[in-house]
Amino acid sequence: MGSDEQRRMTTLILGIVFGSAYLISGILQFLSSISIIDDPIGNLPGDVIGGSVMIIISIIFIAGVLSYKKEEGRMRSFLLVGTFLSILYGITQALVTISDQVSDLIGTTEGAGNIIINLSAPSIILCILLIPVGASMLLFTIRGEKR
Amino acid sequence: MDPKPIKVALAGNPNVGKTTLFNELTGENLHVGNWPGVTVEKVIGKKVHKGHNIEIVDLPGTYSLTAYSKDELITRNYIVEEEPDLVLNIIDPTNLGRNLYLTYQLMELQCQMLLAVNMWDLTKDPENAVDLKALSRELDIEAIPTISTTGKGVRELLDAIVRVAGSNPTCKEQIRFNDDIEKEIHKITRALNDWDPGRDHRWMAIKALEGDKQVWDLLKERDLDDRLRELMGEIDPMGMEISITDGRYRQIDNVLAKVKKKVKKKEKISDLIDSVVTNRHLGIPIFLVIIWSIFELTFEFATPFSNLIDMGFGELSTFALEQIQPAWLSSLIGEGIIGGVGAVIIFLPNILVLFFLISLLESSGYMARAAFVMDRVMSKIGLSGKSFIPMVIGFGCNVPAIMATRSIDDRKDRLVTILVNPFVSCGARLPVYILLIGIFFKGSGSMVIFFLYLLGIVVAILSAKLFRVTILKGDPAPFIMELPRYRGPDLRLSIRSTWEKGYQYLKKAGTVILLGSVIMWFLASYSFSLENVDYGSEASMAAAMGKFIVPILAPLGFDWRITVALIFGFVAKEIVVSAMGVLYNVGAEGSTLTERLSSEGSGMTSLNSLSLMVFVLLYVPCLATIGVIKQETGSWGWAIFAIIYTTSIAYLLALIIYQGGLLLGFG
Ligand SMILES: Nc1nc2c(ncn2[C@@H]2O[C@H](COP(=O)(O)OP(=O)(O)O)[C@@H](O)[C@H]2O)c(=O)[nH]1
Repeated sequence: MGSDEQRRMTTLILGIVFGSAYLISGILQFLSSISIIDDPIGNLPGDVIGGSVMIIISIIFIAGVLSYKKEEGRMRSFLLVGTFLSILYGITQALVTISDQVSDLIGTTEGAGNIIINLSAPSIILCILLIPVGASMLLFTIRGEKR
Repeated sequence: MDPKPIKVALAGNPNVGKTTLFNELTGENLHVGNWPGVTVEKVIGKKVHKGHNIEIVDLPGTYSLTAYSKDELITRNYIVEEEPDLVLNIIDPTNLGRNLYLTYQLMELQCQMLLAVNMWDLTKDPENAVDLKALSRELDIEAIPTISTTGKGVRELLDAIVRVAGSNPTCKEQIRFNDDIEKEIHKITRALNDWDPGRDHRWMAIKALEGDKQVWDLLKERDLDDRLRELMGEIDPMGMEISITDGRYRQIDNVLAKVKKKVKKKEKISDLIDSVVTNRHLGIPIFLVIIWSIFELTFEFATPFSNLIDMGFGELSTFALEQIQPAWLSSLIGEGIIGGVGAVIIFLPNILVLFFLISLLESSGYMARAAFVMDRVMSKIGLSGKSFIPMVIGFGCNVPAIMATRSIDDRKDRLVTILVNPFVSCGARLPVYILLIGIFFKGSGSMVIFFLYLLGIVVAILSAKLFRVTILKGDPAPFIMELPRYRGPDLRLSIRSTWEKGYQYLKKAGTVILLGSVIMWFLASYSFSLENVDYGSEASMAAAMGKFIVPILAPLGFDWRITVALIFGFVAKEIVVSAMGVLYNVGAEGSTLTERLSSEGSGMTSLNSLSLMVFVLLYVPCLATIGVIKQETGSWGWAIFAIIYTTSIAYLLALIIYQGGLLLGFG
């Protein structure tokens, strides 16, 4: 990454983009799980807590964005933790989706739905996008520590 | 040679290298270790230096000098009562602020002091650099740099000991608190000096203002307490204690500003992450998200594997019932053993996932942060954060959790922590939840499990509060803990520990639970006159026993089969599941326990299964836990109290849930 200012802007933009992405999909997932809105694609997992989790993640990103006036490191720390939770939640969601399919296969449950659609849940897509972001932030921070 | 030895006391925070320095100073070989309690005994070493006899006492490592913990009391009582010629305060320059907190408290005792700034080798790092001259000037105490691991500076230190101990006590620099506090301190000091002449009472005055229990006891012994209370009038001791602590920290900040070089702090990844995960507002939501993910994986992800095992046992049971002769043996194996033991083994995948994730979390270093975050909540309602670590261990099993309370010094804190630990939902209760949730709460499974675990913690915390204001009155000791560095997940370690837990689970299934299942089968197959009756029918002993007690449990929505299962669950909570596996086997060949429970005839509904889960969560701790409560509290009284208390709470909450649910039209 380039100069301090560039790095600061990068962190800020990442925070804004992922903060709003998680906020919007969190709210959608929450509302669809309590049947206030319809889920047109069918890729929103129907649990209330999942939606709340995404909203909490978005709050962490946004808290980072709001601290942009302080050091860049502080803003990055929010992003790091937010990213960690996003990845944790995304992986959880993906594993649960896969295990639902397994249940379908062995016939203990029915109607797990289309695996592709289920795996395109916002939390999983955002998690995939965040893995490289998180990894590069982590590497960068560790390298800064060694210097 | 000087006949009277110079008495020197070594004081310092834990881990400053005190033991190592003690060995260097005295030449005696002591065991150096991190284990708490290594220096709790009084250890004395002797040294002759330049014709002077020096006698060195190693005091316990402490962060402070309050009356809250054993170690701190030992330290300050020694200094006050034995009046050593010199207190050698060892400080760690990499943690100067925290170390100076003790230094200032030692200074308040107005003893002759000398500083050893140990680990001087680490001050090469600009972040740890300390301006020794400025430090010495600010505190008005001579400071000697040492490296106790190499013995560097020890000779100079011995020289200084002889020099300083022989000099006249100087009036050391003291903290000036803010004017309001100083006024009070002066007033009290003067009064105490009048009442009890011959010594200076500033330290006692400060401690009295802080509401220090031991000092007030001492005042009472001298019949001064009522007079002093009158003099002090309307002072809020809590507020005072906080302002005084605050005053010390402010002073320390001033000193730090003068002795530490300003370096741009390097970003440490641990600090970066900690600033967020221990954030006042975000700390708890982050903790909840992590715990919820663990339950989601434990329940949702592991379930198909459990179902596969379940189906396997179903087949096996059918095979046994159809192929084995004579009939009683086929029933023993098919219904008793496979039904009972199988019902428990089914949940092995869930147990493995749960323990794997918990061990990942533990080894990452996050658990210490969770305890730190929870301490804020718990201290608000008067509990020590130290109690939280045993709670986390209790997620696995309450027995080691209760043993882990040994690290809590304060007797009452420890007792409270032991008594509430059984409410923390251990791994043995998980099979009960998963069995019932899989049938009656499909789709919201992890939410229900999450709710149950949370309920356990909430009941534990509220009970602790209740004990604290009734049978075990008092305030908790303050909680200081070091946050270890974060580490990447150690897969090998986690897999090994998971394997061990899984092995223990299977071993339990093969021993206690096997035995329980056989007994259960026997009780369900025979009447009291030992006649073979229809399996699990109303004529069996099990039914007779259950029916005898069921009137008590019926208001919770339980029938006789659940009642029997619960009685046997006292031995080990998994037995509730295995007993249900045996008892619900009635006339339903080949189907799985899940299918049998969800059928109309089982009498189970989502309402009474919720009531059952709450009851299982909270009622009597298992036999092993009761044993360890007896062992750790040293009394059967507390063990029996725990049995009665937990069961009463369980009954009450299950009653509220079941009857409340009926009133609201569920069930
Ligand atoms: N780098 C460095 N490490 C030290 C020094 N003195 C002690 N240690 C280390 O600090 C740790 C704690 O030492 P110990 O004597 O047990 O501390 P105590 O708890 O204060 O008694 C040990 O691992 C020592 O090897 C020192 O001067 N420099």
